[in-house]
Amino acid sequence: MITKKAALGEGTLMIYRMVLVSLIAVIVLGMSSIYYDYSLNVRDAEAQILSKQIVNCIAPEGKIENLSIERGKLLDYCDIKNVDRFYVNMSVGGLNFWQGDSGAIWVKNLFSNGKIDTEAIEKYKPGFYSSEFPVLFGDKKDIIKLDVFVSHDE
Amino acid sequence: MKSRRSSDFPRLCTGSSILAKPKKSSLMHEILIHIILIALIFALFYAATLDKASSRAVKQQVLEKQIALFIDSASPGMEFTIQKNNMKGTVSNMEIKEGRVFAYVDGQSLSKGYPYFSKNYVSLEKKEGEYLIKIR
Repeated sequence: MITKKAALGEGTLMIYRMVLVSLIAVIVLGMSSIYYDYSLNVRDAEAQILSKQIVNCIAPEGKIENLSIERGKLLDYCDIKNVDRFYVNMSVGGLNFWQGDSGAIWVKNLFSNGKIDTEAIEKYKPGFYSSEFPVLFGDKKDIIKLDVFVSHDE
Repeated sequence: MKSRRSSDFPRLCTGSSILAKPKKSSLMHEILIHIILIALIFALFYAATLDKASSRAVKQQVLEKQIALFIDSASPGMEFTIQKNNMKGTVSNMEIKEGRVFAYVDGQSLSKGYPYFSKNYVSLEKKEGEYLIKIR
């Protein structure tokens, strides 16, 4: 024989049990999705491709004709899309051009100096490519020095 | 005359309502609810692990990033095809919009996509058994 109060108590207990089981299920599923998550890193390849596109834009056929680039707008000058993830720094003929957040250099140094364990956050390591391209700047031989950083896609 | 316990009979009482239930069916009811709950949780775990075990998300990622790299490194006038029945699985759908490549493998419905940075115009044609990407 169950009284009305006891039936109400049993209902409350059932709700508590369901909430507890749901919480455990969410925790287990969440942890398994984090543990089995796999991120393929192609940022180094992207950095290399981007550097070649920039050089082809600035010096088509290896010759620099015009360098009227606005400060901090190197990628916009070359009509590159989705520039939020990139930081590029180029120097040629004593001039310096760049675009993006230079904090990417600090993040890259964090991964490369080895002072902290970065294995758990390896998926956030920026892609990097540094290169030098010999070109003709006006009538003189010069070298384009280019550093490209590609951050993780949000 | 068989003796019976007083608890076997429903009690009538004025003032408060009392529910009278036999003990065996109450236990069965509880067990049934627990079995249904456990079955539901198992079904949830099975669905979640099935997705991980088939590695559709990894195949999707590989496909999207490879296509984005192709687009980034391509010159105007180039075009390339992706077979629907791919070694990375059956590509059930593909989209290129808002500067991102979206690929759906083996009936997936969600994709975060991967961005490309090419300044060229990129178009996608869906043909029988393949997808044709043109760079102009």
